[in-house]
Amino acid sequence: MRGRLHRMLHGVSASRYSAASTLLLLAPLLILLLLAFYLPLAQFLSRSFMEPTLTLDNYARIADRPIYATILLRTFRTGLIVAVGTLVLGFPIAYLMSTLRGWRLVVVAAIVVLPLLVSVLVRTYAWQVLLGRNGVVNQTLEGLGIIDAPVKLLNTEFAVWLAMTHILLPFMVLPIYSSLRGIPRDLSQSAQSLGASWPNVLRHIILPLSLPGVAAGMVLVFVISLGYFITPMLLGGPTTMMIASLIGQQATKLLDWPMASAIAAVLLFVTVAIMALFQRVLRLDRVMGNG
Amino acid sequence: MTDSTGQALADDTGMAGAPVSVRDIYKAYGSVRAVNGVSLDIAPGEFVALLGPSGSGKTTLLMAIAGFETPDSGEILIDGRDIVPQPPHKRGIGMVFQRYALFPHMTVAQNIAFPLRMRKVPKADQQERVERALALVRLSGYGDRRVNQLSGGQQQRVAMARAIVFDPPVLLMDEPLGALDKRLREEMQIELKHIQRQLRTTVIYVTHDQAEALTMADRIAVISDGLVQQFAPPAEVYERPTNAFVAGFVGETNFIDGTLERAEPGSWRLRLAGGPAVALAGEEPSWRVGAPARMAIRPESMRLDGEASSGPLLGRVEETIYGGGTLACIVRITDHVALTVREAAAEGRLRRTGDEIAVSWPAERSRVFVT
Repeated sequence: MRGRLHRMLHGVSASRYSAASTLLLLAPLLILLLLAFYLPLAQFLSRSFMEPTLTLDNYARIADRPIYATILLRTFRTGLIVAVGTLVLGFPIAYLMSTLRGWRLVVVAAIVVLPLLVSVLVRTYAWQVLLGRNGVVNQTLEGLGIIDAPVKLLNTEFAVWLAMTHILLPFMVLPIYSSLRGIPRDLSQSAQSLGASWPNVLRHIILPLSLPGVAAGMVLVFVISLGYFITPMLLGGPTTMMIASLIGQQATKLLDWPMASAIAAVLLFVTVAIMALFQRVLRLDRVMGNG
Repeated sequence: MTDSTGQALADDTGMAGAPVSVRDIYKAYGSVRAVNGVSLDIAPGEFVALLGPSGSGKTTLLMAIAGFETPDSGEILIDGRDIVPQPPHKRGIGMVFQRYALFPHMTVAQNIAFPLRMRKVPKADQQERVERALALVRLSGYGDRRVNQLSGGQQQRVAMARAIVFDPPVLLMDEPLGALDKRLREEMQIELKHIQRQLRTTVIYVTHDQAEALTMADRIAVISDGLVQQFAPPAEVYERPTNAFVAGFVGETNFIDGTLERAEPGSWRLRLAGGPAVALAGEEPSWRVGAPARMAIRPESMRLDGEASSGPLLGRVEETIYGGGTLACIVRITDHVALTVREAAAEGRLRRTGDEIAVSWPAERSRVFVT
């Protein structure tokens, strides 16, 4: 047990601290998490089957009414689309960053990271302006003669995907960048010397070795997007409701806390299940790559 | 050039190395001239060491041959064809990198099969050739191992097998043994040399270790400041260095500075600053009376308390260093000159520090460079 804890906490450089001092160092954070997160979470979730008496009614309601499943599925679909979107857009940026040094790297990294400093609300409103009926996008498309009349962009699922992809992009770029940065330069050189053209180096060396970063980015973006609230609400409208809005509605508008708690519990459970599955698939991939 | 029919990787197939011609290669980074006009003609199947200190330009030259650096001017011919315009993956050159550069997400066999896969060699042939390459580097049965399960020496062999499995006519090696400990390095030197003889591949081998270059190479190109200082077989580089840099860089050397003087026609001497003069053998066109010069002489060419055609220089024993087979004795001649004399330990007597002693040497073993 002790050895395992050690390996878990220390990674490669084992046994610099004893288990006791490790726990001591972690204690402040653990206590904070326990008091401010795990306890309230447990309390909140317990309401889903404790109120008014011990019951599974709330879960039965979720299972009965297809609207809940629809919203849950839409939420996961949005998460997946946003994760794939950020991957497609983010990988080239991360790759570019991994080839840069010095001030060029600083400039590109700043471009990637700076939007994080701007509030999500502001960035969402910016998309409202861009995508509106007389927004920049519609005006440009009309000006170019591609469309005759303004297209409805706002209050669609597409608007939600677009804005969330933009907002969550850094969470994809940074982990991929960090794993690309860890690939020694001489690996791609040696692949070239062994006869690999540039696309082959990318396919056989760089992509497989960046998988941990890609996986981390996918998980991050997917999980964060499941809880997105403001952006879907402002850009999507009522017909594209996501689960965070639903929980909020149940808790603050309908004051049905047990129901809100039950939906949250389902979301938590499904998310953990997906993560576990993902983890297994990824492990399998690695084993196959190595075996 | 590359035989993709599944045969080869052995010495009975008629495969052999290609001639390599480096012609007037220049490469500058900003104001730093890394390679400053290098030309080398390398015969097919020859093992050439590029020997020089770090920053001498030897690695830049190697990278230019591999295709990872583009020379500012000059040609690199393999088999008579200029390869400078070709991208690295089309050059068909094998390369072993300093830190092996094995692919961590592949097994040993997958690593070695990689160049064959890139050349679309049929699967069955791939397997056979991987097996033969593994046998050649004495790693049969290790194909399914993961790369990070291997020791440094084993990784080195895998890198070697991967670089030769596609029968490249030219093999480049960038300090391939630098990361190994001394004993393993010496073992691998002999083994690499053995493999190279078997394959008859042309090898260009970058190293900063002069002992390694002397042991392995057919010819050594001593490089410094982006220039080839000398390009000759090891014995010649060691015995007859063309300049003071080569004399100092290859092997141990005593330097004695002085002024050239001529006692009578054809009989030259070097006078030490404010001290005695020592006899020199022969004559060189560059020698002028009164010219400052630097004499180089190997520690093992010198004798203590013996009779020889040059010297003796008198001094005091400053230190004796026991080195197993040899015994080194440092003799202080003047404030500026201390000589190291190396004797076989069996012959040499242990000298006491402070003893007065005479150092002499056969005049023809010294080399003199006008400075």
